[in-house]
Amino acid sequence: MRPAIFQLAPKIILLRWSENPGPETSETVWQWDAYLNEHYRDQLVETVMAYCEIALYVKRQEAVKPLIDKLKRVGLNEEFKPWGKPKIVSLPVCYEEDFGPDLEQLALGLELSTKQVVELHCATTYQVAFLGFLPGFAYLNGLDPKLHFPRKDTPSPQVPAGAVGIGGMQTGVYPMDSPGGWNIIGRCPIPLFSTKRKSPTLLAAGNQLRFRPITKAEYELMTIEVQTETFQYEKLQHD
Amino acid sequence: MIRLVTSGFWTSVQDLGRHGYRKSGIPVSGVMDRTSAKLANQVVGNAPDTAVVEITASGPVIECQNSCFIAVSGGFDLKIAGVQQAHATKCYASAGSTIEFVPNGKGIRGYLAIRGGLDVEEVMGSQSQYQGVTAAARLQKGDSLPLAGAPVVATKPLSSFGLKLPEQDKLTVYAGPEWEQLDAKQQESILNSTWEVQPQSNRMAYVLGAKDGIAGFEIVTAPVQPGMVQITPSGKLIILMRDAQTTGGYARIFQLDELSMDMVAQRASGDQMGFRLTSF
Repeated sequence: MRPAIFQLAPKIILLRWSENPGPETSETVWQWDAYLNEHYRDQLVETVMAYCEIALYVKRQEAVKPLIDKLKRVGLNEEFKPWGKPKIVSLPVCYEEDFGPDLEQLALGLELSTKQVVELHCATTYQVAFLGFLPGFAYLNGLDPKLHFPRKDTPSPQVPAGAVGIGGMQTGVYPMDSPGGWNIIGRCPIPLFSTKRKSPTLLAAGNQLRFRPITKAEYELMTIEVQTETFQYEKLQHD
Repeated sequence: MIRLVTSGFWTSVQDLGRHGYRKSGIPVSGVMDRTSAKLANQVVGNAPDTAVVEITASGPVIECQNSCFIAVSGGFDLKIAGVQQAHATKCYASAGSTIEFVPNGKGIRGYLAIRGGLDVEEVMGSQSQYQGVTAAARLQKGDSLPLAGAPVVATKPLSSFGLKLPEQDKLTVYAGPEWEQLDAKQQESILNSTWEVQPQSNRMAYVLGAKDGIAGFEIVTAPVQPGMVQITPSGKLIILMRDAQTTGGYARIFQLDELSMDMVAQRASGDQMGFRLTSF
């Protein structure tokens, strides 16, 4: 799958795929991103990926037109997968009432029990397509169509950090307090973004993600472990 | 050390931004008006990417606990111990003196550069304050900022500096990825309209009021960056500024050129602006 390539601004190039968003398009986007960062590292400030596009931020001193001509001749082998076996992260989520204020309403709308919603939400292995929106926020592929549910008409002025939501065809975890329009069904005690950690973001494009239900008591224990910096992050790694 | 006696409306430490972390969803941040900030740094002999204090709408009152060379540029002029100073000029503030900022009518953002820079926390390669990345999103009354002894670069003669502040009423833009998806009538209407800055505008985005007959649409989440102009389904325009998120879901109709971004940064709620489309 080859992208359309065009110049957006004096130092910005956009690569765009016409395919629908989803796991296959994401794999193609990762391939190209890995290739670009390997071969054009010196000419780029950085790249940003999304579902069907990559933005290239070119260094001020670099010429953009010759770079576009080169990119138009790039043909990637489908087998080019420089990332190895994906890291699987298992995130604990408490779906109990105070943490999931919209869970009941969402279950009613979907004609499911709250238990079924939680089971379906935890049954999928999601794919991290890319990060964006807020520091450490992961856009995921893979929400079960049975859980697709419209965003709230009026966004909440303040969704707490760790809130797990469903909006349209998407699910995700808010990394910090922010206004938000998704239906909140649970909360994760582990911060997705923290500059106190060696690696501030918990997730990266290409990771696989599962949600694991926990009780309120477990939630509270983990919150204390995080606060006292005794939480063992390697426990989140899943085999 | 300098100490904020009052905070001003929105005062923060900013440099030229945090680069290389957008892939993790971390905004670039940095000074809103680069032209003005670089000017202030240049005047005091700092490298262009030295952190400055960005002031917005109303300035803080600052006490200099050590003597220092300072300069103020942008929409504010400097007063040292009650005496007004020439704009964007290297001034000496003696230990114990109080400095204030006086609006000069040229914009809503001013930049205080201090010779040698500021010794404040650097997170991910930048001293720019941003909520959730640095310890605080902005400076508060009572905050003290230690001065850094960064090497001073050669200062060019003052006559070579031009004061570039918004005078044109049209912003220079390139067509964005979804521009062609609007019909010719909508395109014409957007380009021929004067747009008004809405009160909710901030370091993340400037919002421009909706017009009758103009409506945007949502897109599959895609990369966005400072200077991008999005149009919402209700017809508002959103100009993304330095603290903008890294990806967005509204139709992207324009990308501003660098100087136009600096011009927008100096506009206040109620100001008018228009767009002039250009190409490469």
